[in-house]
Amino acid sequence: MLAPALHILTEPDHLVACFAIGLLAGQRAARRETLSLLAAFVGAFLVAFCVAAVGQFGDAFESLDAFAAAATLIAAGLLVAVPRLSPAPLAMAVALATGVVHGFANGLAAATLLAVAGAVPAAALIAIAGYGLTALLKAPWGLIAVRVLGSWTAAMGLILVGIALR
Amino acid sequence: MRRTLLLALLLAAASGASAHVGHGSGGSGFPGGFLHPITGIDHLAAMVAVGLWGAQLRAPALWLLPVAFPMIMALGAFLGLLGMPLPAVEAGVALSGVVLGACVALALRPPLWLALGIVAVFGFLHGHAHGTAIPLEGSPLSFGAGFVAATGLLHLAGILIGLLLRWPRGALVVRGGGVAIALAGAWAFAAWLMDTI
Repeated sequence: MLAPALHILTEPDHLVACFAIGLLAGQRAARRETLSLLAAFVGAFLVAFCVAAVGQFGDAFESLDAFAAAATLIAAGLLVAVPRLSPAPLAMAVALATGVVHGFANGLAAATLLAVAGAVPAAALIAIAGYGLTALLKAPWGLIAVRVLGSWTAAMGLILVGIALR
Repeated sequence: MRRTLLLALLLAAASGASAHVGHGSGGSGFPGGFLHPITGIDHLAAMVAVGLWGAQLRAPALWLLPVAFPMIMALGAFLGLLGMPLPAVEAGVALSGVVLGACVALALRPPLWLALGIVAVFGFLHGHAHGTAIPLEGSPLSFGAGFVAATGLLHLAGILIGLLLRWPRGALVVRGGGVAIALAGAWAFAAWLMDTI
């Protein structure tokens, strides 16, 4: 149970993607939107994790893994960096896609379905940490700091594509 | 105070300029990436200059620069990873210190698009230099996260030093810092020149 939780915490792409979803949720003005974004992310993560852990996929998705993760980093990072780009449906789509991609990748890496008990709370906690940060930063410079973090996230996604293409 | 700052930066340049040119042995993983912009005086000086210049230009440049820069830098790193050749990139990085330092020293206020364009070109060069230094063993993405974070924190350092602009004498100190950065860049450029010839 500990190992799958650690997997998310130690792999930079999982960690940063989950955190960015928290930032994205925290930027929403309406509290309902924030909650539904977080819930959608965790739900998608849970379902994708179980599908990947139960199904016998082998390494069929190995080559796609890095690109999918990079795409979620770029998408989530851009939306956080430029909030004007993110109407509610788009933010929701990105939260769902990020949950699916990273849930699936972590599920593939899991030895048993039991791992879900470690991975899902870990993913949820990281996202909530990101959300917590936006709640702390209500000062004008705080909003900019959150956007800068989004820009770092998108930058990492772009670098991940480069690494995967090597 | 201005003279002390200048002296400190020059001393840093003396130890760092020769260390950076062609360096890439800063280790791997997040620490390696984090140290890459900090241990090369040419990167360090130019990134602090971006923050200082942003502080001089005020909003919207002040917050557009740190938001746009990492993504442009990542584009440079991306193309560097793919092996796009960029001859004499170290010279370009050194020259970025000269140009950005001069902009701060002269407190230039070009139109926003021009300021962003200048910073974007140099951000691309810095990203390319970092990207080609990414070690593929270990965790290359952690290395990437390291230099992105370090670069952002150097911008922040520049912006915070830019708080001095509230006082007339502080504005002079900032411009003096620009002079020092331009000199450090010239130093790094000279080191590159000596190395190449």
